Parts: sequence; C-alpha cells; structure tokens
Amino acid sequence: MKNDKNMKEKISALADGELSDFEVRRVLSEIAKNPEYRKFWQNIQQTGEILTDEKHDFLNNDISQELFLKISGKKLEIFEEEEIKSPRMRYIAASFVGFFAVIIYSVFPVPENSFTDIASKKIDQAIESPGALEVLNNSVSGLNAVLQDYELTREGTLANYRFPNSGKTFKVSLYPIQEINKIGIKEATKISYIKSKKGIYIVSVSGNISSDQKNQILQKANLFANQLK
Amino acid sequence: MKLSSKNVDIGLVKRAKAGDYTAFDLLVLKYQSRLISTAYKFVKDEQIAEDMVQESFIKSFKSLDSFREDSSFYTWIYRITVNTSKNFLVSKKRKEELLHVDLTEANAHRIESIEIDTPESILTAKQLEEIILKSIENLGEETKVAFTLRELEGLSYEQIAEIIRCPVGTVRSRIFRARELIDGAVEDFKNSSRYHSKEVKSEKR
Repeated sequence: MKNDKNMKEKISALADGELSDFEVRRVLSEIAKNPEYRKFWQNIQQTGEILTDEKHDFLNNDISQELFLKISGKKLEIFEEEEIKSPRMRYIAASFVGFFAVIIYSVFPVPENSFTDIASKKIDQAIESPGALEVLNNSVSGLNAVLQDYELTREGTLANYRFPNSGKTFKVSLYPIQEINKIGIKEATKISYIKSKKGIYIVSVSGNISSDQKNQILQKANLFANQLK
Repeated sequence: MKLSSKNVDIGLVKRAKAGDYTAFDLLVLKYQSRLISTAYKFVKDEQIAEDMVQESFIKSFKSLDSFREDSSFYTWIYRITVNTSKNFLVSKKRKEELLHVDLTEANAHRIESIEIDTPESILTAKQLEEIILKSIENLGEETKVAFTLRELEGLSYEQIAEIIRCPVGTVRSRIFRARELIDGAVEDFKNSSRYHSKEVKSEKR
C-alpha cells in the first residue's frame, strides 16, 4: 500500500514535470503495467484540463493497449487489478529485495565508513562516466547484440540492446550498491555485484535472452569493471 | 495549456523518439479521451472516432522525427486527428457518389438522428467539473492552497514552497494528496457512469 502511494506520488510529480530523468524511466515502466496507475495518470490530466479553460467533453474509451500493440508490436502486459492488490505478491517482492540485500552484505561486509565516505564519492564520479557504458558494452560482446539506447546519469547506467536477427531485446544496468532500490524486481531476472577499485556495483540483466547468456553477461561485466574511471 | 504540461509532453516525445514506447503510451493515455471526443464531432460514430484517433496516433508516431520540439504536441496531434477525420468524411462521400447512392428522405432522416445522438460513454465537462470542485472543497486548507497554486496558477513546486514556506517535499505530497482524493471521486463517478451505460445498453437490446 505504501509503495503504491509512493509510486502515485511520483506519477503526480511526473505530471507536473517535477521528476528527475532517472525516476521518469522507472515510473513509465510502472504505469505501463499497472491499470490503477494508468487511470490515475489519466485522471490527473482530465482534472487539470477541467480546471483550466480547456473544458471539453470526454469519451471514456481506452484505445491505448490496442495502439501499443499496433505501434510497438508488443502486447502491453498489464497486471490484473486483483494481482496488484494481492498482499502475498507484495510479501514475495519484499522478501526478494531483503534476500538480495542480505546476500550482498554478507558476502561483501564493507565497513560503513569506507563505503559511505570514500566509495560513494568515487562511485558518483564513475557512474556517469562513459566508462560505465563501456563496461556494459563489453559485457555483451560476443552476443552480436546492438546497443539501442542508454541512460547515463549520476544514479546509474542502463542500456537497452537488441538482437538484429530475432528482434529480441534485453537490458543491462549498472548501479552503485546504494541504488539497489532502482532495480525493478520484476525486471531484473539476474543480478550480480561487482567490486572494483572504484566501489561496489550491482549489475542486472533482464529481457528476452537465455539464462546462460545472462550469466555470461554478468561474468564479463565483472571482468571489465575495472574500466570504471 | 500550462507551460509545464507542454514541457512534460516534450520530455515524453523525446523519450518516444529514442524508442521508448512507454513514453508515447503516456501521451496516448493523456489525450485519447478528448481526441476521440473531437473525432466524434466529425464522424458521429464512436467506433469510427476511435479508429480515427488510433490512425492519428500511429501517423504521429511514425513521423515523430518531423515534430518540432518548440511546438505543442497536443496541437500537433489535434490537427492530425481533425485532418484524418475530415479525410475520412471526404472519402466516404466519394465512395457514396461512386456507388450512386441517392439519399432518400428516409436515409437523410437517419443520418440526422445520428448527428444528434450522444454516445452513452460521454462524460461532460460540466459533470466532471462539479465532482472535481466538490472534492476540492473538501480538501484541508493547506492541501487546497498547494493544489490550487499548482493547478490554477501553474507554479512550480519550488515557487509554491517559497510562498507557503515549507519544504518542496511537503508541497509534492500535499499536491499528491489532493489528486488522490479527487481521483477517488472521479473514479467512483466513472464507474457509476460505466455501470449506468451498460444498463442503458442492455435495456435497449
């Protein structure tokens, strides 16, 4: 329930142009799959229009899902409302996050001071460097995948790749460890952490590729992590 | 249209241009209802109006690269929708002429009656306005101030924070709180309209 409110608050801020670029990406992907968020976004817009001089009638029809399919060739995978409200699902998601946090911290017991004071400063500088994207590009080398687009911000780097022959797509991201919450639990099917001379990062791979390929990407990302400048 | 709304649209267009369809999806969600309503005024058929708007969005997506980012996305998509609807009427008329269809008095009467028909799923601006204003009245004073400064004055969160002397985060959550309450009222109304619309349809059958 609290997560739901947080997300809606972000949707409200997005409607006002008050959300950071990085957050926008995550909010967009949440709206794409949640009927409640879609309605909330639509109602914010309609309310705004009604309160200004742009008064007009609305036909309460929804063509968005059909259009999504026609334009992108992909079906919009919107959850059933009951599925979203299920407390069990929320519990599983929360457990999943907790599980990863425990694993990461137990394998890499980083002293608090060194992490907060030294690593995070370096990470801030490194994560937005072209080197971060280079790590991701190198990690997918040999797969014949083409980089489609990427986002390079202070909070992390995310790149979308595509196989030209099959049209299949996948995402690889690299975040400093303190940004673990930025990784969509549903999306990130494989996560690994890498320790470089610049700090600790989380690499995630999701999308339409085999489990072996995902493992291969994570291993290569580890190899190239030291390229972070 | 508030300047920031235009800027939000441009941000979404830029993302769509870069291949992020979820950004374009938000523009579709934002404008579909009013565009279908616009197309309906021309074609007088709910299903055809939907088709016109779908076609318009597809056209706009395909030519996004030609969209000038200093102009308004809504004005652009509105123009495409109007032109698509007009072209549909012209081609429909041509088809009728080609088929030598003479409109008999009976047919003419039928078309007239379609023109004055109102789709059951229409939500009038007046109905929605009443619900929204009533919801705003019920807001707490602080929430109401933040919300109206945003929606009516178009101020940024930072400007509002300066005026009401509170952190930007508080402004953001107050505006959200207002929208959440309004959303509840609007959704209840829409659900009852859908329910009513279904009842009317089944009665007609």
